[in-house]
Amino acid sequence: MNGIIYQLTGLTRRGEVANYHGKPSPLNHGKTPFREDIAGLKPKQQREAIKFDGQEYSAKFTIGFEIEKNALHRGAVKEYELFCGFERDGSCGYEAVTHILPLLPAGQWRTKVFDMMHKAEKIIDDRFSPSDRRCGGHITIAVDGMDGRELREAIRKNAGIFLALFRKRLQNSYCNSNLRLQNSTDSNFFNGYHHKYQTALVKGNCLEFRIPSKVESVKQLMRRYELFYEVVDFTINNPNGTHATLLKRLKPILLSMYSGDVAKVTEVLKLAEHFKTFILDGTIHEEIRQFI
Amino acid sequence: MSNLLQIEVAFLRNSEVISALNLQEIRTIQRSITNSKKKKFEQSLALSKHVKTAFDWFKSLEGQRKLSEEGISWTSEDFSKKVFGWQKSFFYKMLKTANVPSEVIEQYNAKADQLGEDSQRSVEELLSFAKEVESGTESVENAPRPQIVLSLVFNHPDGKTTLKIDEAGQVKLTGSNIADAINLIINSINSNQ
Repeated sequence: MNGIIYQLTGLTRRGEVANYHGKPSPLNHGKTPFREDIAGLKPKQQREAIKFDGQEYSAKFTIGFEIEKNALHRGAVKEYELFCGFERDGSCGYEAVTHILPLLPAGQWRTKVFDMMHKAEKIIDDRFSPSDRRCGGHITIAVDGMDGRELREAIRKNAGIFLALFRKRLQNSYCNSNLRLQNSTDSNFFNGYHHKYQTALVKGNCLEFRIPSKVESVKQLMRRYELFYEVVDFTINNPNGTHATLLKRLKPILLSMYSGDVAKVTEVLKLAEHFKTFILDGTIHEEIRQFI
Repeated sequence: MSNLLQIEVAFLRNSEVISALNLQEIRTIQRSITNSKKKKFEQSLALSKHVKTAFDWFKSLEGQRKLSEEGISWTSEDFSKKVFGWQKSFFYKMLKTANVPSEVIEQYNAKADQLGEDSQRSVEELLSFAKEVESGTESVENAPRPQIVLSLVFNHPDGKTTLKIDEAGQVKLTGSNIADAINLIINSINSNQ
C-alpha cells in the first residue's frame, strides 16, 4: 500500500471508556508526507483542498465526529485508528470521538479515512452498538486560516441543508439556540443564546454542528462526510456560487442517503432553500414552521 | 520439423529409430506441452473476456454508483492492481486481447496449428498478429511472413527510425532520420578501419 497508513497508537486509554471529558486527546490525521495520497486529485482540487509546506501535505479542511450510543458492542471497546477514545455520556450512555480527520475530495486519501470508519463498524453501526433518540452525532469542522466565528459567518448561507436534513432535531434544546448561526452580539438570536447548546457552536478555530442526529451506520457516516466536504468546499472555494448550484452538487449524495428516493430528496432540497432564507433574513416559510 | 529433408523424415519414422530415441514419449510430452501452451493461451483468451466484462462494469454508471456508495475511489490503474494484482501494462494487454475479433483469433490459431510444436501461442503473439491483420500486412489467406534480412533501429533525439528489408526486397521504414542513420553507419565503419 502506498501513502499514509493510519495505525493504532498502542495507548491503552484509547481502548477504554473514560469518564466524561476524560478521553485522550485527538491526533491530527489531516497530514501526510506522501505525494501518492493526493496524486489522484485533479490539479484544481489539489490547489483548493491541500496545502504543502515543503515536507508534508495538509488538508485545508478537517472534520471530527462524535458518535453517541446507548451501549457499545461487547468486545468492541478497544483502540481504533478512527477514534481518539471513548467516554461516558450522561445524556445517552457512551460517546466515541474521532481523531481530527482530513476533509477531502474523493480519492485515495479519502478512501483511507473511510477505511478507518469501516474498521470501526462494531462501534458505529446500530446493529452492534445501538442508539436511540437521545443520542446525537455532533460534527466539528475547521478550515485552515479561519477561526470558528469566521467559518460560521461564511458557511451560514450554505447551512440550510443541515437544518433540512436534521430538522427533527431543531426543537431539541441541546442544539437549537442561535438557530440562525449568527455571530453578532447585536442580534436577536433565534431561540436565544446559550454558551454551549447552539446549532453551530464556535469552539476556537472550529465550528461544531450540534444538530446532526445519531449515527446508525458506516455508510451514513461516509455520506455525512461527503456532504460536509461539498458544503465546506463550496463555501470556501466558490463563495459567490449560488445556492442552487450547491444543492445540485449535493443531490447525488442525498439520493444515496435516501436510497434513491427522488421525491424525498426533492422535499429536502426544497426545505433547504427555505431554511437558507430563514438563516439569512429570519423569514419562516410555512413549510418549515412545524420544525422550528 | 518442417525443415527436414525427406530422407530425414523417413529416418525418424523408422520404428527402430523411434524406439531408440524414445520418440513416442518425447512426442507425447511435446504434444502435452503444446496442448498445455494451447490450453494456457485459450485460458488467457477466456480470462481476457471476463476481465473486459469486469472493467466494463467498473466504468459503467451502475459500477461507479456502487463504488461511490461504498466510499471507494479508484482509477483504472487502481482497479487493475487492487482487483487483479496486475500492473496496468498487463491489464491493458488483457483488454486489447478481449477486443481482438474472433475471426482474427481463428486465423491466428490456424496459423499456429500449422506450425505445430514450433508455434509460440501467446497473447503477445496474438496481439502482434492482430495488428498486422489490421494494418493489412497479414493477408487473410495466412501467407507465410517473408524473412527479414536487414533490421535497423536508430535512436535519434528527434525520434526513433526503424528500417526492415525482407527477403522479397520489401522495405518498411518508420521515422524520418534514415539519412542520418546511414551517415552514422558509414562514418563509424570508416573511422574503425
